Amino acid sequence: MRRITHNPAGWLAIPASLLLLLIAGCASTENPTPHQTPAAQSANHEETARHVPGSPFEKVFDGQADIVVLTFFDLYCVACQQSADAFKVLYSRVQQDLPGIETQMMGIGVGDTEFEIQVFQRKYALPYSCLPDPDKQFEEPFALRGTPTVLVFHRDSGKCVEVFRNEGRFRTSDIDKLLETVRKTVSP
Amino acid sequence: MMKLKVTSKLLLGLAAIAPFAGYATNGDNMIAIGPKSRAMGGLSIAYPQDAITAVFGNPASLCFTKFCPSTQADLGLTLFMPDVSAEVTNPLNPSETLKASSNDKIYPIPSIGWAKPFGEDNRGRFGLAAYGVSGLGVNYRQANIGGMLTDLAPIEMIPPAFQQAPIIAGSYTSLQIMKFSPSVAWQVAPNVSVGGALHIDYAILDMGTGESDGFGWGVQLGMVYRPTEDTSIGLVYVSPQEVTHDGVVNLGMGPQDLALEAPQQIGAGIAYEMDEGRLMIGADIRWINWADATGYKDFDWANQTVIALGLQYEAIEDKLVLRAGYNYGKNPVREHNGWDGSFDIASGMPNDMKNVQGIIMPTYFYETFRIIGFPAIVESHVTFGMTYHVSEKFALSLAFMAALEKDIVETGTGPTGAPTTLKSTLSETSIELGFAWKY
Repeated sequence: MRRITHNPAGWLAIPASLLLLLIAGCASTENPTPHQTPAAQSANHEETARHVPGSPFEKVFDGQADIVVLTFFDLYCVACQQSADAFKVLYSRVQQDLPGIETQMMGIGVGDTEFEIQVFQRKYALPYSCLPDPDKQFEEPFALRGTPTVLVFHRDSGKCVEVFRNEGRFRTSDIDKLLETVRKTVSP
Repeated sequence: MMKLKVTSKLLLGLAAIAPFAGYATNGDNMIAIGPKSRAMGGLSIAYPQDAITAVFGNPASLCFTKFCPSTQADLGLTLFMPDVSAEVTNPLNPSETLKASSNDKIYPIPSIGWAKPFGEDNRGRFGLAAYGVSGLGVNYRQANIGGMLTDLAPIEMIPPAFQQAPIIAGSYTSLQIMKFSPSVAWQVAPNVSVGGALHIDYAILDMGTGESDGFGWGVQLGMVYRPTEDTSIGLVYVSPQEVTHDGVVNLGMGPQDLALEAPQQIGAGIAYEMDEGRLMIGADIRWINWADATGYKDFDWANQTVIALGLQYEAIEDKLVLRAGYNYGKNPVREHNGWDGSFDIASGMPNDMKNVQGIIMPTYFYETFRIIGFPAIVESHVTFGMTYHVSEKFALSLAFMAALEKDIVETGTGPTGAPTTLKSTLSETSIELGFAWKY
């Protein structure tokens, strides 16, 4: 018969486990996601786009729109699927509620193939164009930490400056915040 | 891979040092693991929200939170406070009822979980969890019913064959089961996820003559399907998991083994989100096959159908989530009445006996053990709780559970052949604090 006794130091399990997880967490940051601030990122946008033909920046900032709205999604991301209706509403609100402001809206399927973004676009009837990004080339330049992410850029004196960022599920209540930010940004 | 090995060793280390005594809720299973699920009555099959709950509730855990591209670690500590008491007819004076309260204390039950996305589009999720999942026990050693018959009357008034006999069997019991569980989930389609988990069980049983531990194992399979963006349906199966406790029973014929099997379970759940995810309501149903589980079937437990209802509401966007729930599982301990617990006064031999895995138990001791020693009888649980997101990476959760008082009463004949009543009463409260960290 195997007899055992309770370990009186059992309460140590909690702080010990916390410590152990901290250690595990530190060990897992070998390849950290870049966490440049949006401002730091935007400062690099024009230069990157200018010098790297075919770069992610060039692909999305090649027009002349004052405001560029980017919706990053992934077909397999549940929160992206749940945000799709709000993306659609955002598109129509951007057209209606920002008169006089030239806007461009684009979706990017992070990690998605052409076929996968077509599935997403068709299923949720997204009325704006979407780009596939199977190799996740947009992830680092736009400091993406995951999907869904909505970014808004303002083109000012030839530079595109990030003025709005929403990470996680995008709700219709976020649309008003986005539009308000745009209005404040472009108003003199 | 090295990181996984390190984390796995750390979790096993935690399992080895943790004091995971618990108590009954659905049978002797906890209604939930993790504060989010516990605060919603155990809701976890269709809508797991953290690493611990996903492994316990449904290993096919998709990312259900608003933003979850990162690795997540969850820590939980449950403070479990049972209140159990018993009444037994005095075997030597049938007109008197012996009443006793179990010497209960606050049981700390830790849980820890970790989940990491992997693969193309983060379609996979690897998880590890260690948690106390089952527990049961009473301690009447210091109470009047925890003694010998000689404590109730002068020894000369007790027939010689009964002078070494206890008043009841099961005056001290303790069962604790902890699981260590690695799991893998994979999204086979944008709205379908499947998963599996390996359960490694570590159980300690004490039936009054010393603790005996053992290991068991089993598997858990799950699936989550989202027919619409706002609806989630989950299915889960848990295989039976048997642990043999060497030499844990001693009824005067030397130590004997007893096997206890965590029963197979089948569960289904549905969750529906409204107001763009601010409000979620859900329901789980779980069938627990106690009646065919080694050990439990020997003590005549019935199968149990458990229903969990829960809701959560995001009261302050990205900051505060409130939860409430209800859990019901009919008492699985069958009531026996009219049993013959009498003994032959001259020889001291029982007039009726039960065979439990080759262990011959006098019916009186069998029944007192079932009713007084293993009173897993509570049925209704009311729960509520909250999560506060301290920052984008850290969240604190609280859960409170109250299992409403329930009793079980049996009648038969006692050792002297006089009418005898056995009664156990149980209620429980628990508070759980959880800490989630995304990195």
